Amino acid sequence: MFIIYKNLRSLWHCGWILILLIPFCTWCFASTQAKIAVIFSSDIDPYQQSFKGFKAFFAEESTNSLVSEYYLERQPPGLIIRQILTENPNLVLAIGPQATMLADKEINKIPLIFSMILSYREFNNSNFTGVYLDVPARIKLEYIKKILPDTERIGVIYSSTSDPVFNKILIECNEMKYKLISRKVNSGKEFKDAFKDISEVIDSFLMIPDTRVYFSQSVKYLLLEGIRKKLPVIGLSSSYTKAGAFASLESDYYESGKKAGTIALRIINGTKPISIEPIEPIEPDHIKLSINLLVAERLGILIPSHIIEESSEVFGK
Amino acid sequence: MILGINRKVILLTFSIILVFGFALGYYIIRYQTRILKLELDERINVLMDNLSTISEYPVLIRDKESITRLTKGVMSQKDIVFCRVEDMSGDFFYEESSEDAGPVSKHSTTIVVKNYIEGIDEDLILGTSKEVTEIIGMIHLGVSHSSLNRKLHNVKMVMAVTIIITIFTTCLTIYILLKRILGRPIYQLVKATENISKGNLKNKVPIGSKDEIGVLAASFNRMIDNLLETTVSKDYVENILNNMRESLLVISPSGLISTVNQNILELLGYTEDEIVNKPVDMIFEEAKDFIKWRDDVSLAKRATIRNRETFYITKDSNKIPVLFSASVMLDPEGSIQGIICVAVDITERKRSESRMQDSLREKEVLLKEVHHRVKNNLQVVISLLSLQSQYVKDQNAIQMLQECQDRVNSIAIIHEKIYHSKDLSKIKLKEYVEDLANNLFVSYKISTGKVRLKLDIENISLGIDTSIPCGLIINELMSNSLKYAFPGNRAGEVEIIIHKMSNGEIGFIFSDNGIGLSDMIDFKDSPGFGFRMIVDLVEFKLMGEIKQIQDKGTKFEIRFKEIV
Repeated sequence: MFIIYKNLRSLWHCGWILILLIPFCTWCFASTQAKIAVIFSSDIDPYQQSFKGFKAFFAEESTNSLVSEYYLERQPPGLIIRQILTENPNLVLAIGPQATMLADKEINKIPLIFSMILSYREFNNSNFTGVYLDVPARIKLEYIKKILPDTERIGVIYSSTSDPVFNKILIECNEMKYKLISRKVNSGKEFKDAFKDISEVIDSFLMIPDTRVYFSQSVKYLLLEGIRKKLPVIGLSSSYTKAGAFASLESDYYESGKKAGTIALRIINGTKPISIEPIEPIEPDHIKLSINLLVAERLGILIPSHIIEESSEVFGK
Repeated sequence: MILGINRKVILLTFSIILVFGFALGYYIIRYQTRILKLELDERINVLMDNLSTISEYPVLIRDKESITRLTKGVMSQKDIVFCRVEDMSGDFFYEESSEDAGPVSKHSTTIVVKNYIEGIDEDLILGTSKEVTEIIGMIHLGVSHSSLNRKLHNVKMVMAVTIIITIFTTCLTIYILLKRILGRPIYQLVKATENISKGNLKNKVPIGSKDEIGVLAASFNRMIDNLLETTVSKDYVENILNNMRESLLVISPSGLISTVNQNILELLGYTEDEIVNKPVDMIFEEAKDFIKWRDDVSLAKRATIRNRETFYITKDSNKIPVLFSASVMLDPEGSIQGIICVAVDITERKRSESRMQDSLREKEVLLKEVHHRVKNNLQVVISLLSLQSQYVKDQNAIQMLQECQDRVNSIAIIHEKIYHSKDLSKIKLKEYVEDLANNLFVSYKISTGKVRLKLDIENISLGIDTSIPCGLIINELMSNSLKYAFPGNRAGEVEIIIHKMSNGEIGFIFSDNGIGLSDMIDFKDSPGFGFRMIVDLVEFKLMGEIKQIQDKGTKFEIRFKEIV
């Protein structure tokens, strides 16, 4: 009886100790939870997929994080910045070009991670690192070599706004022994003439992100003329493949988000952003290949079955 | 020109259908015009949209060859007579017009290109770039309306023909239906009405349907039946009025003669036109009564004249005696509608009455003469008995002769009274009894100082059959009293009371205060002739009752009824 009474008293004391320890444990836990502010350029599906990848990475790593979401299309940019500065998070994740530009301009002391932007952009903030969206030129050329082994001359039409991209392609083509036949135009109005000039002397055409050159009419013309002249067009994303491009290479948004998560974890663990190189989609998991079998058939191109199996999206089955 | 119902309905239907047809036609043509224009516009819009879309890039890059190819394709489209493609600077790339004449509408649209906003190339990949539009040129199309107008013309022709056919068919159908449904029954009704107006109530309208026309025909037949009944009744009544023996006269509330029958016309010698609507006092002296009735409705409602003898005045101003009756005729609201006067010519009756009066007077004279002669003869008898008594020595015989004289005298007095009376059938009892009593007092030489006569007689008149027995009874009773009740110098009183009793009987009390009758003798068993005669006269002649009342003197009470 005495033993039971003694045990009960011990249990009573243990309960009190646990109750007193709860606030302490909570403080300790809170002190290790990372606060992350996420700025969205807009609430579109690609950005949400990227954000899902980001969160999935944190979940896989069992890292506690307190995430605050801000949307540029819902709140004024100045208000978002003030709230973020007040919140003082461990890092800021900017998804999309608008969010990235805002963060680069307004936030200095907080580590920044960009995602869902093309490569080769210069930032003012040295506290910035992130994940590029555009597949590197080399990867693209390697894929062209794989799916279009007969290609020797690659055509590119660009403007001054896409000079950096063009230069990268030019370098890589030289390295990979491709002959790059290009035309520089000032606007889309010159696209037809430029395309007419090169279409007869190229084996395939590579689109580069340039809104001055590519718009609805020029893209429509390019895709139609490409089919007519049996020129495979490598598009910018699966939308172009679906619309009539032969194939497209693009970054996997989910994987891109996960890559941003790896950078974020490193920053949370104390690594300086400046010491973290931006990540380009070079890994196979990070790249999505989409092909259009109907266009391929019209062009008379036989695509190996393993390529089809590797493709993330196949149209015109 | 008189239009029948059929033609009126046809005309109305024609007008309605014409108006309705024109309205409908106008609406349909407008609708068709709108539809055709919409179709044309839609076709042109689609064509222009396609042309605009297709020519975006050729215009952008000023590819005249492509534009020419496109425009030629457009020009081959139906109704397109003009096509012009130009850029925003006004330079046109292509212009062509056909020689198709006629009305042309111009349609224009812009050639628009979409550009991405430069600078954010990620949106180009993601497909989220905001597009801006730029008008780079215009397309003008000329559309001919010739085919549209041809179609509209065809529609108008079809509509006109349809309306004409519809009007013709509808009017024909309605005409046939009306002729069958309305025309025939109405014609029959009209015929029946004409027959009625001619007094022919035998033809009826055939009931062919159960609709309103059928109901109308049935009502019309009922009306004919009722008319038949009421018309017959009117003839019947008029026949009665004209054949009745009495004179009928209806006076209006204003005092004018409104209706007369044939009898009064014949009676007074007027024609109907001469008497109708003339004042009633023209033929009737007592018309003032009717004026009172006219002024006082309540009096009129109560007042009637029954069998008043009065006079009608003939056209020749002669008076005709009539037995006149009148009563007020009220309408259902209680107002005086007229005064109905019925009179019977009593001229003949009056003449008969006059003759009868004359005859009666003659007979009365004769009867009086008879009574006078009877009375004279009875006086002769009395005189003879008196003369005879002078030659008789025996006192009893003398007394018997005297009594006979008194008895005969009592009868003679009656005849004398009748002779002097105006009424030959009745005798005033009081006068008769007074005369009879006085004669007896004289006959028995009784002075009124010794025996006083007291009479209490009601003024009763009796017939001669009752008066004679009654006088004989009084004669006998009074003779007995005067002879025996007051012997020597005994004075007394004789009283006669005669009254009519409540039961109609005549009560007669005779009394004296003389010595009275012997108690040993019942007067009914008396051997004397006088009492025997009294009892016989009371009980067998007058069928009455006599009884002796025990009192001082002698007292008899007699009750009898007058012999009718």
